[in-house]
Amino acid sequence: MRLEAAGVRFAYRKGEDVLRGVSFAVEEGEVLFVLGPNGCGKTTLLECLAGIRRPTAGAVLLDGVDLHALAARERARRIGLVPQLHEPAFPYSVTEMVLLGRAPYLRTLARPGPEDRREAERALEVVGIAPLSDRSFTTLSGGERQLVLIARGLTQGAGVLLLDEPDAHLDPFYQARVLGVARELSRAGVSVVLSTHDPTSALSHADRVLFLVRGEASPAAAPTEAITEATLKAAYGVPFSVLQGEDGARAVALRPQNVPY
Amino acid sequence: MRRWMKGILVAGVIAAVGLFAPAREVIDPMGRIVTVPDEAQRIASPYGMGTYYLYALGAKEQVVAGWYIGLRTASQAPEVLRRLDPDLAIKLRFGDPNLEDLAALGINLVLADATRHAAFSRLAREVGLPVLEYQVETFADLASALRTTGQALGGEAEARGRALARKVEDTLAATEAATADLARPRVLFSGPDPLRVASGTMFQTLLVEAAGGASVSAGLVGSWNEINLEQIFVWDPEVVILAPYSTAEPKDLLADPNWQRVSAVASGRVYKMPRLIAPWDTPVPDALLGLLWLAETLHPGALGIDLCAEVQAFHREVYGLELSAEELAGSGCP
Amino acid sequence: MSRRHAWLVHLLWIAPLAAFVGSLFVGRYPLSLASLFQGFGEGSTSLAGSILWRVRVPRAVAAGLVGANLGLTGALFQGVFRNPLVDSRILGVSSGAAFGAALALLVGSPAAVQGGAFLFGLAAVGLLLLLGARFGFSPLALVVTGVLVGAFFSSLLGLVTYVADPLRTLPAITFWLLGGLGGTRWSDLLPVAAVSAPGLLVLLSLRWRLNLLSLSDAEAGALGVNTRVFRPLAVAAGTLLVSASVSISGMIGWVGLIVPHVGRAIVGSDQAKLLPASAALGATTLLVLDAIARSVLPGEIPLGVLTGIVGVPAFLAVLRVFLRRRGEAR
Repeated sequence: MRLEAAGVRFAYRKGEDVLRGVSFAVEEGEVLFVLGPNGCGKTTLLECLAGIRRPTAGAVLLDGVDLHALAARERARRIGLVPQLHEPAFPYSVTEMVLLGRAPYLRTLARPGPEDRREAERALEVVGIAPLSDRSFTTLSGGERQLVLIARGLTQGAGVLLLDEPDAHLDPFYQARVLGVARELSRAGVSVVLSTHDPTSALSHADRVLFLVRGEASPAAAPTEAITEATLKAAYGVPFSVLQGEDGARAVALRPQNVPY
Repeated sequence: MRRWMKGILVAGVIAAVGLFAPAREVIDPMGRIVTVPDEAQRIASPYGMGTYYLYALGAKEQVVAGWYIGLRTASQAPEVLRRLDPDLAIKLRFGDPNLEDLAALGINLVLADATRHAAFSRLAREVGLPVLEYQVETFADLASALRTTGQALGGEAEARGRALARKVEDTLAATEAATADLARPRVLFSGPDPLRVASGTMFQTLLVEAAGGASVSAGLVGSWNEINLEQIFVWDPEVVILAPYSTAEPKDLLADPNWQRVSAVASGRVYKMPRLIAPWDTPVPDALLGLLWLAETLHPGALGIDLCAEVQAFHREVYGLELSAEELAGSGCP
Repeated sequence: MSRRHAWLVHLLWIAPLAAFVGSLFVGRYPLSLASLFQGFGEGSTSLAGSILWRVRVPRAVAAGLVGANLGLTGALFQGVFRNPLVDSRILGVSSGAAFGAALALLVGSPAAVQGGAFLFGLAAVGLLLLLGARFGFSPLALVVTGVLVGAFFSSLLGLVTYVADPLRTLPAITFWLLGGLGGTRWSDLLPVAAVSAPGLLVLLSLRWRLNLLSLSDAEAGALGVNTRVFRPLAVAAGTLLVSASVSISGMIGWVGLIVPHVGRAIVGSDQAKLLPASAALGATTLLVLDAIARSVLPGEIPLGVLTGIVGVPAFLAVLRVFLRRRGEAR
């Protein structure tokens, strides 16, 4: 599935544009990383891409069709949103959490049936957390919870998965695991759009990267082109170095001097 | 006369007037010594029952602001009361008494409830307003209160107070004597609605006992107690008395299928206590009539009185009112 | 979890029935087992039958219905507002109903108490939804508006009690406010059941989907659910039930707060299981409490008082378990 943002503008209040004409496309099976400073509109962008916010101008197109021309249920079957981690109010079990992803497939008065349960189990397998299915969500670590939410996105049967800062608050093990899962999904044909604060992970996991700074998006490009010392300085306002190790591993590091307070 | 002698004379007269100003000391029902004006022309009575004492003692005209038990507006008042006092609407108050309001009216005597108006009374006394405090829960209290109120009013009211108090005591004694040896029927006295019944500590139970009945709810305490139908079956009263202000009528209970098995309903002995000037089940002079009526209802003929005549005589003597046949109907008269 | 609690789940469905039947054996009037069974068949022709069919059965039905309503709406509101400390009183419906009942008593029309309570309960809900609409029915807005609406009607209630005649009206209002099912007749039940039925139907059919309201609005939206429509619908159905219950039972608190927590401990947080479980638990609780309220003393013990006295220690116990569970997560 091809997801395209065409000149998307969004404002919460009139005259205060959060997104100023963002345009890009994500091809089938591609992983796009969205980098940018806090408050630049990454979450808003993802919500527009998911169709839960309506752009004030421009459109989001899925295989050429305007998202808002589709019914909410149809949208939900094609695009999955994996939100930032937050503390849930009640202790649902992992399976119950993942089953919620079947909502777009169930009639209003229906409850999940055996087929839905199979889908949920499959999703848990793909993400690699099947042993956790009976655990209570609130007893899981942050990394495990993130994987559960990704599994839920999968049960939606979505062709496009949007992940909002999935690696935030995670230790390196789970960071790697979450991003690894995203890559695997893309190999299976799912398009992935992922927002993050970590340019290093973009270097190793993205197909293409774009910067969202003050509501404006840079053109999406391959990581080596998109992530340079210049673009990083422009985005975050502090100097970075892009480093390369002998084995080819690449990283972004903050330059020690002249960090403004 | 020399000017300085005139001055001394005037001062002397004022002093004499001040020293010998018409004022008396009485002991109020709570045992406090209160200095009351000799001619208490402007009386306020936040005490809902005290107002009726004043009327009974002939001090109707002196009541400027009255609280009447059970009445919130003049339109709720019974016809008889409005006939007795055409100025009722002007005098009627409800809620908490407002000291400034009363002071502005030039009040010079207050009748208050010892519990409910305790704070108000303290303040009123500080301002120099004479306050009589009452706590009347038995017939004895009633008689005593009538005497004291009469004393406080002075003049004719004092004599009337004594006479009325004696009448209360005599009637009580006579009724108790007449019913002493008679079998006591089980009596249920219910109040605002049929399932809300009088506790053992309430005046209504005293009435029942004095009239020769045995109150089934005497074991309960507090104010009106809510009970359920099963408890009624357990007690199985032989007579049901509905308070004058009950929302139900005897016919409602008699027709109610749920109540059919209660002895009182089966034998048709469900009665509603009448009310003319004041409710007959509260400790006001009219409670006399309540007592007589109840005794007649429980033990017809035992007292050897003509209830109708008694009711008429009471209103004539105590309130100075002639009751019409209409008004008398249902109050012990055919 | 499921294996350990499997027997508890079975108990869940038996408990209300057992409580219902059991409560019929209890009451002020001493009835032997034999006369009870006899009365069962005799209907109103005998005293035992009268007591059974005219006093105990309608009361038990009322207790079961009101208890189920309270439990279910408690679970519903906790989920919809994502707040474990919420019960049906949060939205101000009970205050509106209390005012309506007091007004009817003030006007001197005891027969209109039930209707008045229901009407003003609905008025409170209407006000809530009207004000909540301005804020897009967000959970926080609804809670705050609910508190305000409740405060408004409570003040009006205060005014009514001030003006009420202390001899007749005030005791009636006070007792109504304390909550109780005394004097319940079959005719009182009909309107309650008639109103509760559609509300229950709606909520029970939608019960799985209600889980989606526990997610953030963004997540729910991404799953194809329009919370701006769904949430007020759920709230409206729930408050219909609350209004209907309060109109016959007065103010009964705590049941809606505690029952869902106990339910969660047995069947988990899935509303599809929790709503029916809370209904069953609520019915059982109120059946037991009402049986106590009407038989232990000659006078009726107000239900609201009993639920408070029993409810507070129960709530403390639940709180300990709840906090312990949370402590497990990091």
